[in-house]
Amino acid sequence: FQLFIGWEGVGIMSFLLIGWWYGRTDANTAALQAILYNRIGDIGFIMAMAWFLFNTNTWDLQQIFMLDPNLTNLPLLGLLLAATGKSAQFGLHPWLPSAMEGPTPVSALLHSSTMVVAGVFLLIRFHPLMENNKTIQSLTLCLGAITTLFTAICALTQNDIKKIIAFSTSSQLGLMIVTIGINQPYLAFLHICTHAFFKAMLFMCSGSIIHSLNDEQDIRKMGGLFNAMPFTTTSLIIGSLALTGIPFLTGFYSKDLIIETANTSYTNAWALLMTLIATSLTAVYSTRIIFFALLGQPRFLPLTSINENNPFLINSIKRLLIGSIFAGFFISN
Amino acid sequence: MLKIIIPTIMLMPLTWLSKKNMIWINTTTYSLLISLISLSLLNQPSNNSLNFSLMFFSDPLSAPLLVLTTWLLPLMLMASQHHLSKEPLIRKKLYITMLTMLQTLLIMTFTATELISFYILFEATLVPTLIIITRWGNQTERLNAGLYFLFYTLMGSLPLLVALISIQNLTGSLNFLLIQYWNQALPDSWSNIFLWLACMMAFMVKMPLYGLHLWLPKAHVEAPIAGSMVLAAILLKLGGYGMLRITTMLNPQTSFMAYPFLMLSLWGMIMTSSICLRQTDLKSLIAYSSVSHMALVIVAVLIQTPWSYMGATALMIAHGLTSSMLFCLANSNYERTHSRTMILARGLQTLLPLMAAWWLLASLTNLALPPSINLIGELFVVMSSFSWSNITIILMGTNITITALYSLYMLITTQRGKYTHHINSIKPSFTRENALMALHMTPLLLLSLNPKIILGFTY
Repeated sequence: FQLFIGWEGVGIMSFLLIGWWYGRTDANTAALQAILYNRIGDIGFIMAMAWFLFNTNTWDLQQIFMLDPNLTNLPLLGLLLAATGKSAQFGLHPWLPSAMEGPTPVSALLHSSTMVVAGVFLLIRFHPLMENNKTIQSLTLCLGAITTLFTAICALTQNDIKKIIAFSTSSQLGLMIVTIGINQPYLAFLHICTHAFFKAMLFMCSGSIIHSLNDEQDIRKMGGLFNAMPFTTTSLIIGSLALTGIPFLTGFYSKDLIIETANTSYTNAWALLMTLIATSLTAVYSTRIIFFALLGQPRFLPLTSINENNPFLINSIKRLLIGSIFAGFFISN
Repeated sequence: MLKIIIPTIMLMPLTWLSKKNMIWINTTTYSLLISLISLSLLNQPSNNSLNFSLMFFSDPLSAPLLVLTTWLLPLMLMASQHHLSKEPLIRKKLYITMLTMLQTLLIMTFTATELISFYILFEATLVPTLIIITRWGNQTERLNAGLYFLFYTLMGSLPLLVALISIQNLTGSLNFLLIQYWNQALPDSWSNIFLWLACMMAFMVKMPLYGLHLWLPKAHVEAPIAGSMVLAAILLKLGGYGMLRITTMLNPQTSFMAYPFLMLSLWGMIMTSSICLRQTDLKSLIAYSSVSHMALVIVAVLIQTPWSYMGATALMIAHGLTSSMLFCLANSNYERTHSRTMILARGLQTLLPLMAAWWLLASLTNLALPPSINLIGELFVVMSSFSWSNITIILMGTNITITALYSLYMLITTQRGKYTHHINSIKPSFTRENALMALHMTPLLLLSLNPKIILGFTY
């Protein structure tokens, strides 16, 4: 029950924060869209709660696991629906790119690291029940695989820097769901933690770029920032490398382990193939961001006030940078 | 019980004898004091009822509704101050007298012991409400609205009179206390089926059930603010209260007689929620949302499980407070733009941020956000309907989604977006209005901390 309170609470907070600039119509419709998809997921949550109440007489997780009910298809389907809604999996995903109407720190917090992983977190919490149910496991696997491939392809064609990162979040979430599908909840949790670091940093860097270019979000109008904003450039490159799972940066510790486990486990080959393609696509769209935003000649207007002097911004990106590099090592040891 | 009824009756001489600049102050203060007395009734020591006399009693079901009724009178008085400010003194006093009369009748209804006295008072509450709607409503359609309201309810409740008299003949008494002991199962026969229908139809019309709900949007929209408040908060709950009382006598017919009404309610709640999405009239939206929530209560009462009764009572109280608050908010818009169209008064968050905060809280509780009591009521009803039949969860889930959508749609349309150019001459929020909203919201939030009080007699 408490989980449900928090669940709904973050949904409403998401609504309020996406619609922060409430004078904008787009922001308001995006906020409403977020609530719609979240609510559909909540129906699944309520259905699971109802089933648990009537078959195990409790909403308490410890008791449910002790009782170990059979035939858990219905509640686990409900929880999967809830995760789909909250974590923007394939059926209920459009709200996440639209949520980029909110301010960048909101995107950094809610929609990359903490809130969207609530769905994955829910599935991880219920993993003792999911271990015994092969159908649900295959279902999560396929769902995650479709999500990660679809959103990775979408990210290739986007021109708005925040939307690319949003789709990349969605793709990584799909990867986490795949990890749960191959019965590795602990790895999924590790990926949640590590992904938080570099994704939040990517969002903050993009925020820094957008702000210094006077609210310009289209990457076709950026360029040549390599020399103009060295600190942001550094963090962006490191963040993208960590995202793709380059050895010894943070992403490696979780992402590589996931890929290894997926390769060596007895699982659906098609889902595996989709996951591998999607992972390679992460490299592609990350490079696309770097190419358009940082390299080449400047394509923005000549009179801009590019500066990185704001200490708040620099300090926060600095901390996330250190985290991106070292956190993986520290967490796994 | 007389401690509450006599002071309420005495409010009437109070208004007539007060000086011109003291009528509002006197009546509001004294009605607040009376509501404090009624709070003491909430202390129910056991599951049996507290009996005060041969004619009045209170038990865990009626006590919360009673407190809600007495709490709402001062709020109604505060809300009516603005639109009555230009009326002559006698009409103001008449209005307050009507409200007080309605209040007295409602208190007696909720605490009645005999079913016949319940019935008489139930019908009697129609009269002041009719007068309030038709005399002080704002548009010409109010006459039509009053007509619909009166005749729908009368048509529904006349069979109830016949049924009650026949039950009195059969069992010898209609006292609630005795019925618990005298209860025999009704054998299955045609006349008993009609008896069941006769008993339930009055309350179905009052609730209202989806097919019989036409009076509600009319009455709510045309009524002045106090009328809308009391209609939405209390009078609808009379139907629920009556159903909860009378279903104890009606087994085992209910197990098969309830099906058509259950289907109508389940479908109706989705239908009315969807209508809300396309409304342009703000009060009409809130009225349809009331129908939708009450349909949930009907489902809960007809399923007849302990959890569903808890959910029904919690939902009744929660919805009373929330709907009343939404009507007050809509009224604050109406007083400024003199129109109920939603898009005429948009972008209010820029101009009236505190009022926007109240709008937000009201909308959030309307869509049943945890841990408010709205959610507790809805959750219990959803759980029990899941046990009744697994498939209902789909309908309930759809309803929850659509409720969230229209509540937030209402919020966004009135608060957000660019404000209109003609709106920069509206008056800022009065303290009275802010106090009104706060007084609505505080019980709601406090009850979220300890919902045991409102969970009714099956807790």
